[in-house]
Amino acid sequence: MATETKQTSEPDGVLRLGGPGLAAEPTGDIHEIETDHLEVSMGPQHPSTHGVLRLKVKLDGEWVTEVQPEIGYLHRGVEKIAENRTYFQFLTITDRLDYVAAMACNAAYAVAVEKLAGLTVPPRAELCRVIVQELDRIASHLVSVGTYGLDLGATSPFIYAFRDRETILDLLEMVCGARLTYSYIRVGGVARDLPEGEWRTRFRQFLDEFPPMLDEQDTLLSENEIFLLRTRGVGVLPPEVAVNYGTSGPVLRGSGVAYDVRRSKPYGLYPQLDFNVVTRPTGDCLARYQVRVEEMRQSVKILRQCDQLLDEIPPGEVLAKGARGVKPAAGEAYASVESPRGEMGVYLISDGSNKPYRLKWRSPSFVNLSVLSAIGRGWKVADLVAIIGSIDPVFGDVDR
Amino acid sequence: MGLFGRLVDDLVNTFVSILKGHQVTWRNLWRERVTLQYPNERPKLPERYRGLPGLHPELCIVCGACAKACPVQVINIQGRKIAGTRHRELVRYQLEAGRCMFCGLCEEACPTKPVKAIRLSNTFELAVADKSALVLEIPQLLEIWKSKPVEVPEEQYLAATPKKLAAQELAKQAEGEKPKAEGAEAAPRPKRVAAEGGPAGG
Amino acid sequence: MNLPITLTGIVEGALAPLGLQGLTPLVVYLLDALIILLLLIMPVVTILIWLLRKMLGFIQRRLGPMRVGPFGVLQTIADAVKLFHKEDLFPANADRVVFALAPFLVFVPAVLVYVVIPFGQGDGFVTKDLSVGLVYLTAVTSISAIGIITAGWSSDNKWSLLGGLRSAAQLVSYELPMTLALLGPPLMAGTLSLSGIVAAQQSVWFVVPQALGFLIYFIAALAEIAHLPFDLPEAESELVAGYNVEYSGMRFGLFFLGEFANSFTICLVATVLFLGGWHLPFLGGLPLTSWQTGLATVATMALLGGGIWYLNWRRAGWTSATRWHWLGYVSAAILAAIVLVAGLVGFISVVITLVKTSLLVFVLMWLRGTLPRVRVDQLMSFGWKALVPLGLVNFLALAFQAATGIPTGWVLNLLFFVFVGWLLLFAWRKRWAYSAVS
Repeated sequence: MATETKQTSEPDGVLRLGGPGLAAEPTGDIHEIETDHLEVSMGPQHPSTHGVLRLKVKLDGEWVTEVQPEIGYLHRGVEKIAENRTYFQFLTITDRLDYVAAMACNAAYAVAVEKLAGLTVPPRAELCRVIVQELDRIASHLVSVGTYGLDLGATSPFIYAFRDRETILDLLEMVCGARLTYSYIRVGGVARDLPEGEWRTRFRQFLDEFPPMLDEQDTLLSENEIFLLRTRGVGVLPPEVAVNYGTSGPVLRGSGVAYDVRRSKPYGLYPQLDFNVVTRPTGDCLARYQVRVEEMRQSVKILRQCDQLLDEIPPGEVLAKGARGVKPAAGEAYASVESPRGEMGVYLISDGSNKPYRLKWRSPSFVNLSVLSAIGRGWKVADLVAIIGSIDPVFGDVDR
Repeated sequence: MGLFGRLVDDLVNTFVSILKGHQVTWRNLWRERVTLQYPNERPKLPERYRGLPGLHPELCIVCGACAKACPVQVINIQGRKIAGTRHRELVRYQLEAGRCMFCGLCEEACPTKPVKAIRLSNTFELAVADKSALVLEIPQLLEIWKSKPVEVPEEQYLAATPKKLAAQELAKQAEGEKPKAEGAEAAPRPKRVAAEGGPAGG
Repeated sequence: MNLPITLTGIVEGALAPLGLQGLTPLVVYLLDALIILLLLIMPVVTILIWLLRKMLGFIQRRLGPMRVGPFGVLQTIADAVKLFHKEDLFPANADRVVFALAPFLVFVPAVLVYVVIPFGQGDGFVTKDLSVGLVYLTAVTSISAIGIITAGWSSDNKWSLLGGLRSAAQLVSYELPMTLALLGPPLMAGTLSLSGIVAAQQSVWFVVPQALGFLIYFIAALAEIAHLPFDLPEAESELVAGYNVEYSGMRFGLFFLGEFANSFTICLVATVLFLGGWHLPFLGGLPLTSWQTGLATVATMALLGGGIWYLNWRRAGWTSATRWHWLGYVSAAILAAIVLVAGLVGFISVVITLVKTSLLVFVLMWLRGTLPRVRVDQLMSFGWKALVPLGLVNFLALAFQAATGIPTGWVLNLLFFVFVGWLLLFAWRKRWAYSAVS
């Protein structure tokens, strides 16, 4: 199996990326037989396009010669909706963006409004934010990793991942009352302090039980030779291309670029916490998968520190004064957080009223997905599925 | 070793990796289940669970804070003044559960104390055969409200309902021969501390 | 088996008054086929699907079907009833005749195989003991490939076309190593009749002198029936559902049943050819009386059934969903009684064969719960570069042994065993580190 990416510079100077099939196209013997290209529509109803992605795929036998993502099937006009909600109300809508990691959406929006209005978040609330965000990051990566196994035909890792995710959802449900649409991180703080007693016990229990469970589930995939055959060297994304396309998150870090908003543009409590920015040099599907798995371990590390901090930072005020009726002065602000999918940014313009004048959502899934038509060519259909899974788009986030 | 070594390494890796995976699944075969037999076994919901909102019409002071706070405008509230007093009573309260997104902002906005007039219950089974059945009126909302246990005894939270307060006020007015501006202001005020403490009351 | 009343007698008696005695053999054959279909394959497939779903569920820490019947035993029947209710859709541009026929081309061969399979000792347990049974078997099993290809082509759907083409390449490629491996047992037994092959395994099962052949057969057969590491023709995450995308209702049901009938078939063939059919381990050469064999089998059955029962009880406990629990125990007791009584009569050999087969089926399910899917080119290179040469070497060694008496086949398998042992040792020392999770 050819494992390296073929890069050919075209006369027009455009860098062409793709798999081994692409290079074989012009001169290969088999291509002298005149064959038809098969144009298939992969999605929006397709089991492995992770939602409502539609790909216009041109196939030469099993080879993918061209792939064009088509999006917008889940567009709800969230940015326009924001203009008709108060700053405080709109937060509940942000849950519906990246619904796999709603805490990150809450956080991105809250951080942006706080920057715009100059609100200071109480320290206890910052701690709560880190805890729920990291829990949610693990939950989101579990979905990604589990469904990745499903894309490659293994059913059990998916179920095991969801079993562990269920524990996290239970914890978050105890915190905020919902399993998916949390609305927990609020503008100016959080909705309520973390519950004491049973929650704390279960939280610690989770921190102890999760790492071995993760190792076990990882054994099924990253230690399985078939899985390695399917992912190693597939869908290689060189670092410069990854940067040029503006990708972020595990997609970028899988290509060896150590960019993590939590470190590069620190926010909240993260500067005080000790964790590594996980990178892998190879930039293939396996690298992106491994980055996610390793990030879960880093999140556990962060959560252990937070568990100590919970005893150090006393419970108290968790919502800044005047957050409910916040009315920022006219101006604009951009703030971003590290969602499980990358840099999730919110750009806000205020005209001095209690509703945003304009909101722009930089969704990491959307940007990461744009790289697909570049790296998806020249691979087999099965590889294309592996590549989509490794990019891990969430369509609430892509289509907004 | 070179090529042969690599071949051996590959073989061992393949062999071990496949066996290891089977070891994991074999272990799991003997573990406890983690699922619920749903209709027979019910999930244990946490205390903060956000289900369908329920309303207690007696407690509602018809301030409209919930309707105002709702990001999707599913609450339709109508009230009228109780003649001669500054209290209001509920005429109609509609909640369109089909569009409700269970964010809980209405509950947070509600200023009544010690128990909120609108509370998110533990009801999560919302399937109906007809969409119009999802428009909830006061009797259904009261039932939902009561489905969630209240820590405060009933006589305590029903002691200061708007109707009772209005009756008291009317009685006082009749007694004191209309103490004009001051009386009306002073008498019920201490009992309605909630309005001040409530975050969205002002 | 000489039953006092024979089927032929009954049919002849019924047809004679009508003056149609000439049709007796035909009617008997048809009835035989019907009996096999209704009494053997349908229940077996039904139970197999249930077992698979249960086992997969347990592996994944779920319960599997629990609603219909005790422990959900009747779930498959409920599914089948549902499928019968569904509309039988034809795509607008489909080749209607081919489209309608394709499911039968897949399902019927899976059933036809059972004609030559000796389920138990004696003539009563094999429908037709052909002297060229193995040739018939290989010929019939390859028909289903045509069904899959035509299904993929006639649907006029690009996904199913891709699935059909994939299966064309895959089934043809793996036919070769499978047949090469299947040639081993007749070489050793000296007969192509399946009963003869089983009889030849009285002292030692062919899996011992032909371990390599067994492995090749099993892997190639997995690919033949498109089972999990090789389920590319219907790879649901790539090709939606491959060749059966456009099928609905009972036509889809036939594909579904055919798939499971096939997985039972390959296990049955493996049992008959390599695992000694109705012979029991270590007891094969002993002159056992029927009741001793009966007891041994009852014990095995009790272990198997008890295992599943235990797994389910451990997980589900005595919830109201399992209030039909007692029905399970009662049926298990009745089954055990039947087996015991039958054992005295001689049906026992059938039970032994079926127990062995279901153990193999469990291995299939285990594979299904564990492995991801390979890619087309990897599948092809594995087939042609690994399995075909290995199969050829194995076949040549066995043929040489059969022709000259020099035990090359034994030597090859000894080497194979040594190799596997060495791998295990290597693995054990090198990286068999597995963190225990309670």
